[in-house]
Parts: sequence; C-alpha cells; structure tokens
Amino acid sequence: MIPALCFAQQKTVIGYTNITEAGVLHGKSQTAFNVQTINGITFNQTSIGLGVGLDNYGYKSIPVFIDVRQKLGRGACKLLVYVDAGLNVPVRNNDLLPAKWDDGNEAYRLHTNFYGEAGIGINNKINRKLSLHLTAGFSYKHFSYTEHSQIWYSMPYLFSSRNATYGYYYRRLSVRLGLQF
Amino acid sequence: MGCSIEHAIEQAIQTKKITMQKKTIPASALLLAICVVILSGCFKDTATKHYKIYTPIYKTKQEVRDNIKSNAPQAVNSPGKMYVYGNYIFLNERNRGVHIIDNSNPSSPVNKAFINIPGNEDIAVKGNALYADCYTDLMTIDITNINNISLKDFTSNLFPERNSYGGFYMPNDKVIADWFVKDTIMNIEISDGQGIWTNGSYVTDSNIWNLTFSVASTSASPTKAAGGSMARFAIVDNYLYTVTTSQLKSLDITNTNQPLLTNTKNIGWQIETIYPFKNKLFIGSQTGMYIFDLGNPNNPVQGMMFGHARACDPVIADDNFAYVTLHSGNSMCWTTSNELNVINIQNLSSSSLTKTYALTNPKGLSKQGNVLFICDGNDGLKVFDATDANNIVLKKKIPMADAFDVIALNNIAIVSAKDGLYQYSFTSPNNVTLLSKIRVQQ
Repeated sequence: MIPALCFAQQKTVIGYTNITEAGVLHGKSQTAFNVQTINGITFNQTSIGLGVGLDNYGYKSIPVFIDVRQKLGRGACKLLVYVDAGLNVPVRNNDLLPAKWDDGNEAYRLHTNFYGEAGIGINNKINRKLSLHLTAGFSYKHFSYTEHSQIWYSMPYLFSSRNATYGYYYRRLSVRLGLQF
Repeated sequence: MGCSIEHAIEQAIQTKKITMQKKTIPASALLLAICVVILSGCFKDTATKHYKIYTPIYKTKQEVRDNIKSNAPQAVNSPGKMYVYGNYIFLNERNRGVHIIDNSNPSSPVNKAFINIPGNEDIAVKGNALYADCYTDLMTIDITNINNISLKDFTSNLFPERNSYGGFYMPNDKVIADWFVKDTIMNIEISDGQGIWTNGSYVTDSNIWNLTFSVASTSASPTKAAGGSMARFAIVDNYLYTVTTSQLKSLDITNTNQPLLTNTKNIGWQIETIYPFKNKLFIGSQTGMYIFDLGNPNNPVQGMMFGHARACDPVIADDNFAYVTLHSGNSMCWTTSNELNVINIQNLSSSSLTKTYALTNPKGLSKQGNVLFICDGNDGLKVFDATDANNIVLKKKIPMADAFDVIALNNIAIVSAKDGLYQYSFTSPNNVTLLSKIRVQQ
C-alpha cells in the first residue's frame, strides 16, 4: 500500500486507491454483465490506475486498461469524468470453433485488440475513505479471430488451407455502480 | 453567547452543504441522462471479414498440352506425392505440376526442371515415360531428356469425377490453370441479439512459401522405382493401374508412349489409394482394405477385403503383413480413429487383424526390411522397429511440419512434409541420419 504523502507547501495528497465496479453493457447485440477493478494512485481529485475486468459482451474477454478519473466540484457529491484505454484480451472458448481440427491443425486464433471507454458519473462520498459512484459512458471493444479452414479438393488427402479474419467492433453503453476507497 | 455564535455558524455550514448536495445530485443525473440520449445513436455493433477471393483463370486443354515441356525449376510451394525413378525424384506440386529433382547425390539434390500440369495430383514413371493426371485427363510425357520434355499422348476423360475444383466446374475443353487473387474486406451484418455471427463464403487455394535449399551430409542413391503409399497410380510390369473414388482402371503401357485403357472395374466406394506388392494390388478405401490378384494383369480379381470403421487409410504390405494407417480429418475421413492396423495376410482367404497401435494423425507409410516409417501428421516422422508385428516399437520421432508421405528405398527415406522434402539414410531403426532437406520457407 502506497503511504499517503503530504506536501505542506503544495497541499497535494498522493495515496493508493481502489475502484471496484459492476454493471451492464448494453448495445445492439445484447445486454451483458460487466465487472472491473482498478488499482492506482490518487492525488487531489485525480486518480490514475491500472484496471482489469470481465466483459461478457459479444465474445467474453478481459479488458486490461489504464484508467484516468477526475472529480469536479466541491463537497461530498461531485461530478466525475473518466477515460480508459487499453487492450481487449479474448478468453478462449471452444464454443466458437473446435480448438483443433481432427488432423491436429489449429482451427482458429484469437487476437488481442483495442479497448476504450469514456464517460461521466456522480461520485458521492460516504465517509472519509469510501465513496460511491454511478457512471455512464461509451464503451468500445474490438474483438477479432482468424479462422483456419481446409478445403478438400481431392479424395481424401489433398486440401487447400484458407484463412479468414473476422473483426467485431462493439460500441456499447456502459452503466456501472462502484465503490472507491 | 460565544458558543451560540459558533453553533450557528456550524449549522449554517451544514445547511449549505446539504443544499449544495441536493442541487448537485439532480444536476449530475440530468447531465448523465442527456449524455446517454445524445450518444445512443453511437451504440451499434459492426463486423468485417477479411479474406482472399480466388477467381479461376481458365486455359484450353490444347494450351495446356502445348505447354508440357521442361520449364525452369520453380520453388516448391506445396509438396504433395512423390515418385522415385532411378536418380530422379518426381515431386508433385499440388494441383500445379511436377518438379524434377536430380537425386544422384541425396545429400545435394538439384531441382532441375518443372512441368506445368494444372490439376496434377498423381504421377508414375516407367522407362522414359512420366504419367501424370491433369484433372480429368492422363498425360503421357516423354522424359528421355529432362531438358527437353515433351507430351507424347493424352487419354481424355480417364478421371471424369475431376471435372470440378473447389466448386468451379470446368467445361470439356478447358481447365483451371491459375487463380486471380484479390484481398477483400466485407462488412458483415450483426443482427439484433447476435453478438457473433459468421458468414462463410467460398475461397480457395493455399498459402505460398518460398523455397531455399539446405543440405546436411553425404550418402548413396536410390536405384529402383517407387511411389508412395498415398498414390492413386501404380505400375506393375506393363500395366498402369489407377483408382478413382469407385473404380480401378487398367492401362496397358507395353508401348510406354501410348497407354491403352483395357479394363475398368467398379470396386466399391470412397477408394483412396493403391499400393502394388509383388503380383497384388493393395487398395485402401474409407471402409477397408482390398487385395486384388494380378494373375491376369488386365483383369485384377478381388481377393480378400479387410473392413474397418470409416476412416482414411493408406496401405502398404510385405510378404506377411499389410500395414494400414487410419486417420481422422474433418468431414472427409469421418472417424476419430488415428492408428496403425497390422493385418496378417499370410493366408489371403482368411486375413486377420494382428494388432492395433495408437498414433496421432498418421498418413503415408513405408517399410524396408524391419524399419517402418510412418508420417504422423504434426508429430512428424516416426521410425519403428517392425521385427515383430505383435510388438512394433517406436525408436525415433523426427519433428517436421505435417509429414504427408514417405518412400523408403535403398536405405534412403524420402519424406514429403509441409515444410519441405527430407531425405534420411538409415541402416536400422536406431540409426537414422538426415542427408538433406529442400526447405519450404514461409
């Protein structure tokens, strides 16, 4: 745990912070559950951290991202703005395709692509250490995989390999409730 | 009085805080709601498919025949079946033609020439004649002078089932000679409620690699003729035997430059391979192994049949046993079995399974003496001691990408694999040494 530092001249307090959120991602394809946790540092009303989550929208994946948040205003209840950027790491799932064809060759390969989000929210301080927030934002993730297929053109051993890469671009509304300490 | 003033100030501050909170929460919530409404038009999912579209380029059969000649050697892109004759290896370039490789020195093979034969999959050689299929037709090619190859004859429509390739049918007078390749990105519609939706479309052809040569050390050279276990052509004395998916065809090649179709026999279904041994033909099919007697070479007669579960199976034989590999492979081979069956053929009227050995994904195989080579897919080339058919022992596993077929001849094992053409010298299962490799480089 990073100890809080107090610089009397600048009145800047740097400390450790954790933000844990759960909510939904809603878009054209579906409405899916989402949870994430961010660990980082906070100074004044800004926090920067490294986040990891579970994103069940479309194809299940684990976003890994840098999160920057800024609280605006005074008092216990503040406006919150945030932006995330990072990677969308797909979770291998053999429901998509068999992992290998019967002859042992790889059937598909998943790719890591971009993940990003930006939004606003309300941050309400519950006590000196804990605050509750509600956020809504625009969430984007790019999922892609390459499918390795085989076309059999001669009985039964001769085939040509073909590859096709599918890219899915998900643009969703995210709504989350979270706790920060 | 002082306490009253302090208390009043504190109360005023608290009241102001509460008032500010009351104003901030509705304002923030309103801002949130406005943002959601504004951005709602951006909440949509899209998808793309990135692939290559291959469009066939046709040539007339006459153009193809006119181009049967010694062309400059070409890089090996997709090695297929092999045929060894004298000091030469004839290596099929899948669906494109035949590489002629001078193997006088197996430690330093030389790629001498290439023959363009669209649709070529199988080859066999006798004397100065190379027999090669070209989709539906059989080409007879004079290879007396490797530098001056010419077409001697062609037999039309010997393989009528090969009048299409990858969904494209070929008119009687034309064949698919090449492909126009176009990189394509297609937008895919994502329906409501469907996060992932694949839309297959037809594309063909294989990946292309460049060839470089790589050599290891030195040794002897093969002298006999031999095809691999994956072949659909076999030469026995003055006859060329070919199998289609359901037929066995006999061609008299007494005149090597003019093969004459003399017999066509329906022998079953899903016929795959043919292997000659002494005066017998061992034919592999998806339902079993057939043995045909060549007492009358013009009219092969079926003897025993050894059935198995539906699978793809090349077969070879020696005096006492037949060796059949079964492998799974997508929709063509149906089964999930991957194994070697050893069948006792000492009494051809009552053959029996001696033993089954589990493998990974076996395809071509070859045997010389007690050394058994099996191409076991991505497990590479496996070398077995087959002294005792009831106890075949794995002695060596040689890594290589997707080993396809092997020919063991005169103590040299020649292997066609996805990543190249290998040659190994061997004196026993424990003593296998790499001689050379014609590398396929990605």
